[in-house]
Amino acid sequence: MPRRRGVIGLGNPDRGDDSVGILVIRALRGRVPEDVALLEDTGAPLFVLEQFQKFDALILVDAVHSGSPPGTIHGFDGRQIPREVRARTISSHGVGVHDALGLGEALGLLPEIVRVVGIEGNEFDFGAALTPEVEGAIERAVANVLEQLSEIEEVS
Amino acid sequence: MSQTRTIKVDTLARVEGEGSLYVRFSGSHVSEVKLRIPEPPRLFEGILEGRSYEELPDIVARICGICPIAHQMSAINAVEQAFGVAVHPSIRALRRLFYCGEWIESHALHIYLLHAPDYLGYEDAILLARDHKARVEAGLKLKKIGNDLMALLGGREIHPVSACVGGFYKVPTAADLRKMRGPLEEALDLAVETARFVAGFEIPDFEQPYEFVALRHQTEYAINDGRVVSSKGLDIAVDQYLDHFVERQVSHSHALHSSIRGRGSYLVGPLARFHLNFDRLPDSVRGLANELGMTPECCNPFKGIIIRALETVFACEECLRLIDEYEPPPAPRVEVHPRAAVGQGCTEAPRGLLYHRYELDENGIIRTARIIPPTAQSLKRMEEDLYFLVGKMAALPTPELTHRCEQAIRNYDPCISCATHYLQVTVERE
Repeated sequence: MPRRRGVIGLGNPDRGDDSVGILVIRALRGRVPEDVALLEDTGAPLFVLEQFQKFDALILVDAVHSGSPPGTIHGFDGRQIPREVRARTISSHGVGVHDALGLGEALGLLPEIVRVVGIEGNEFDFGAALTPEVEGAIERAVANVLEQLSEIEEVS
Repeated sequence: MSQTRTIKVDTLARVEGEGSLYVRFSGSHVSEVKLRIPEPPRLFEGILEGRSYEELPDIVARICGICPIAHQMSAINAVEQAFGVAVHPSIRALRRLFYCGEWIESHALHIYLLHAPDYLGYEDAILLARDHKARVEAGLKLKKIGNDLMALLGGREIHPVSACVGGFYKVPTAADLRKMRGPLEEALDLAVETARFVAGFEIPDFEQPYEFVALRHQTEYAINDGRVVSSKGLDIAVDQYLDHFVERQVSHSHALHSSIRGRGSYLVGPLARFHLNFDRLPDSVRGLANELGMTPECCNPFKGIIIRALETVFACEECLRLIDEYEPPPAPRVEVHPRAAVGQGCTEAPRGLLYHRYELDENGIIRTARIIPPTAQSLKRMEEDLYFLVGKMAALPTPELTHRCEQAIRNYDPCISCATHYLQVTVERE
């Protein structure tokens, strides 16, 4: 049976660079194989937790705020998010993706493959615009996701 | 030797709200407790001015992702009172069913993901889940069943779209509802397990002389409607609310503090409902409460988690009853004729009494809006709890005392409860 594959973009469209996860999903539309589900969400942990059970391979795309230069693309295995990133929370949502991953891991719900593509953001204020550095990172993030999707296809 | 000890829980911005805690005491004497919550619902009152009553349920649903139905129901009650709309009994029953779904979802979320880790010594629900996998799974399952019921009646579980003044845009068939029977029977079992589980927690010894305030209904455990009553003899119709309750500005908080005129703070929510309406619970729930050592006299806020679990049991039973008795109404909604009037509505949100008031013109346009959510009503009382708690437990080392304070805030299941879980704690010693 082929793997059920999905990409979820997480973020709040009204909070500057936090919207980048959603924008990456929109840029991916029409450019991924038909079987790949593309989803957008605010990153509510319980939504993400539910999605874990629907896929065998999942890529989460979210904004990251870790102090790297804006626009930097980070890649993590969802099972091994660096401790310092967890401690700082991987997104601006407070309760974030790392909580869903942690809960998913503890409950044994994580898909066989779960990866996180993080895009370093700089501006997370309400009503803020996307910063040019982050806008410029969207295509690189898209390429990163497409590459990972083809890797996942090959190993299956 | 330090004379002054300060506990600060810094502000953290979140989408649902933000809060901070500041406790200061000199020696063992508590000199100051401040809990600050800039309150998002206030903005909605301005947004609503100039909008039609038809838009109201959809706008107020956005106030909260956890309890949108509470806001919809208080708002709809208020407008129906203003326009003199009488809904069919089946519509009222459906609304109660809808609301019970929200109680199940909200209580399950709070019990397992937000509050239980405090009692069992875990930093968060993730660590709790590692050791108590089956319990957390049960909590998530319960929450999902509550959400599924909300989605069935509301079109979707978060910010549902089906409820309207006069009824619903679309009502389910009896067969639709019967599909929820199986899951709700499972939810009932899970809720009973939950009540037994949380009743075994170690509860801090801490009782307070609360004035309890809740809705009271002639026959039911009040959710949708009733009179506003208190444990000190208040017994008023909803439209007298503002004559007896007053909101005051306090300098350290953007949120207003509520009090009962001439008396002071009061408590809304599970403890208050349980105290005032214990006799309205079905025998089965009262029996379980007795078995678990819970009596309506309970005035220990740390036992709120047990009452939430008992209310979840009640909500599951109530859903099953309502589904079994359901007969579709003749029409999904009755006709509504706007008129210039003031309407007020109160319902029991999972966190407690939720008051809405609207002044409408002859075209049904909202002229003024007033929303008094349970968290705002509880703020003053929450600060008092913290004041006495810190005084009582002053001998504890600061980290443990800080944890107890956070746990005490979570007793109220305020909108900031998940934020406080992630707050940075700073301790200053002078």
